[in-house]
Amino acid sequence: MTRPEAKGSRTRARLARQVAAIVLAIGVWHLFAIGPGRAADVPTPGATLRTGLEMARTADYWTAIGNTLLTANLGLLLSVVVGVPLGLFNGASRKVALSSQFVVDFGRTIPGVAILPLVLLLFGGTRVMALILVMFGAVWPMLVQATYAVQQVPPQLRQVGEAFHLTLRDRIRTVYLPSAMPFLTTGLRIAATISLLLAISAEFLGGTDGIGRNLFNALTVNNPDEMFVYAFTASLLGVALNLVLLAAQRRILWWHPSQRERG
Amino acid sequence: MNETDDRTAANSTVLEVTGLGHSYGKHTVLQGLDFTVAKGEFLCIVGPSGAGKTTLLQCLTGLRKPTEGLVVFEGEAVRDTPRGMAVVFQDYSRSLMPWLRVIDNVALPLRSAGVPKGERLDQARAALAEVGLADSTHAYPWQLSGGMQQRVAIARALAFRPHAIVMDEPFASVDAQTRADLEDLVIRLKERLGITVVLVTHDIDEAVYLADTVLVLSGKPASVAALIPVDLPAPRDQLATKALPAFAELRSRVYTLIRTPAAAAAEPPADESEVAPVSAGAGA
Repeated sequence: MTRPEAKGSRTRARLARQVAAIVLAIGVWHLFAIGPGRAADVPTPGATLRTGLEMARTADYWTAIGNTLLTANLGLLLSVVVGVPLGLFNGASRKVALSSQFVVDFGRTIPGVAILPLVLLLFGGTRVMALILVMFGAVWPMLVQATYAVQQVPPQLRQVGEAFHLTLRDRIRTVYLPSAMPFLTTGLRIAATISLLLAISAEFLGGTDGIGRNLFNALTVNNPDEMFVYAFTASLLGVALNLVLLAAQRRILWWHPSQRERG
Repeated sequence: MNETDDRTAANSTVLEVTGLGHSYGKHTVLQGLDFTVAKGEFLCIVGPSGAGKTTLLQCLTGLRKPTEGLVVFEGEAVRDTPRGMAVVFQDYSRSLMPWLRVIDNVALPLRSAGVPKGERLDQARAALAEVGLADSTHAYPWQLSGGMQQRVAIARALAFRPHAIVMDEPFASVDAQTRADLEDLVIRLKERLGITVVLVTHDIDEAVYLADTVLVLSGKPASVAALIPVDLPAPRDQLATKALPAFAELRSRVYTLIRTPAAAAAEPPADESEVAPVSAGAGA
């Protein structure tokens, strides 16, 4: 009966340390803003918060967030729809995997932003352009992880399926899909971060609607307070997205050794 | 005496292996294996690590197509795993689905076989009770100890109601006490259900303790060095049986065969009885 209490106090101590780190960071920021950052009009944490609260009352702010999330998540969805089947196919055959390895390795190392001028030229500052850019970055981790997922089905489980004459349906449902899940959720988390990053890049550099474009507008009219708010908004979106996906992963992979210990 | 009667009276062969050989590319692992297993017999295949035991077992179960020879189970050539045969794999932690409860793991093959839900759960529960896991049906495999997980794997094989169970080093990764318990469990199940058991092991003591017949696999490529009938009294007992002079004699004979197959084959041990329905394969 002492264990849960001990665990609780340990969690509380950890939380306290994390809060202390945040407070410290804000303190450093404040000192920087009133000191060396003053010449560059770096806003203080307080000023940023005030601007943020004001902006949160405008429809423009929320529309921008909505647009960014729409672009990022739609692009992510397309990446899953395209990347997973391709990856599964790729992983199912050794020959295919070996043949495609160079193309895949080459494609995934091209930074998404590098093809921005090309898609911008082809599609202009439209959502289609942004979606293609997002897909270009996010499809690779899905494809690669789906390839691993097929290749890494434990051979013993395959043999169990064979020896006990599991039907194809039962094999997919109880052998292949569950053992592929750890890889697919990993791919999804990597792809989600990339999607958000590239959606904001497309907005910032390509002018598609979203917080990236608002950030760029704030830059052109030299409004550092608003720039800071949008930058924070972007990072909070990233954190929120990651938390949602982590929670989803925990629910999907409750049986996996990496999740079990956390009880 | 019961055993002897079974074997001589029922000369019904369950498994027949003829001229079995297997090569991985140019590397020949198994060569010229001939042996038969009678109904209700407990055959232990023993050999050193890397002797091709697992390859042999995969050929017997149809999980691997041998490059030479023929395996016949219940009168039919084995292509994929025969319906009357169930397999217990070596690594229980990787042969059970961690995302399925114990009972669903056991019932899964039955679901694929089209057994209605209520019936297959009853069958699974019965099989779990048989291996002493009636209370753990709703646990997940990883919540159980290694020995209990292997019991689940055995229950999964039993629920299939096989005529023969083939086991690949099933007790290699559990502690000594658990291992002894599992050995006795398998002997008991075999007696109660009248099934044929083929068990692969590298442990000579285990082979002699469990088997009606020990098949010694030796040489490179591996072939049948000897088929040794084990005439230890039933029921076997971990202490009493292993203390018998006959037990010590058998284990040293197997040991010698594994170490020096050529020498042993030069002076074949006098077959003191007709009990083994087998012919020694092409030794070195």
